[in-house]
Amino acid sequence: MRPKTTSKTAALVAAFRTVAQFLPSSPPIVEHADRYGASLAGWPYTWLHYALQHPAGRALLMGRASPLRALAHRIALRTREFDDALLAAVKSNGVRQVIILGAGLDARPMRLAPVLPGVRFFEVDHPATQKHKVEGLLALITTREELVALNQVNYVAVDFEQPDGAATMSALLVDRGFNPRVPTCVIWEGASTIACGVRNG
Amino acid sequence: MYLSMPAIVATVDALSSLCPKRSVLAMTYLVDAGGIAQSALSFAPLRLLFHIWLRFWAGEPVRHHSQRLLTK
Repeated sequence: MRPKTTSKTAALVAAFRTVAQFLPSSPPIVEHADRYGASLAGWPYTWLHYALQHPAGRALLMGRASPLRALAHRIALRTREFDDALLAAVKSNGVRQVIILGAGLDARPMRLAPVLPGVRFFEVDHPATQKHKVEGLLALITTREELVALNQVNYVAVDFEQPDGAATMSALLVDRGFNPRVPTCVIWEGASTIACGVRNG
Repeated sequence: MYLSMPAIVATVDALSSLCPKRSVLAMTYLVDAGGIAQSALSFAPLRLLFHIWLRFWAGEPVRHHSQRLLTK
């Protein structure tokens, strides 16, 4: 990632999490739909989202052989798997804190906070991506419930590739109110697909 | 965007020290067959080889650290 720009990977994944709601599946694969992803990702995903709201657009772009449909399926299944893991952890492990590493433009706290009252979210990501996301969410939220959900999230800006990235993350988490005595669910979604052997920075 | 294995290991290690018992780590790592499939479908042979290497040989440090977080 270039230091001052939003991750393109984050934009793609977020957009297709929104697109997933147009997959022909009943009940939907992603139970708690993401209405923010495509807007946060920006053009051309906003255009894609607009096109998919019309039957002709859906038929053209999300047909059986469409690569868009395949990608949307993959993102949807991955999202559902992590949603289920988080909900199960809260239910059975007494988890009251969630750390989302490399959160990107993922709106998981906005989607799940209403069904997880009292659970605190900590999103850790690159400063550029996080800044873009927070500004975007503030522009998109329209209801009091959304504002409450946004207030359940603590943002921790860290570049994992810096030599002191891990130590900085730990210090900032505690600084933002992370309680090391409270059971926590840590989510790191999609890390292996972008993993490489050597340190970048 | 890429994320290095040393950064992944350092981050999981830091969290294994920070988080208390009964914490849970959910992570797509070595067994994420998507990386292999994606590389194959995009005709990226070097990336494909890397993902196969990551899947079968290089993932042990991450597996080890993740397991620590899950079981400590």
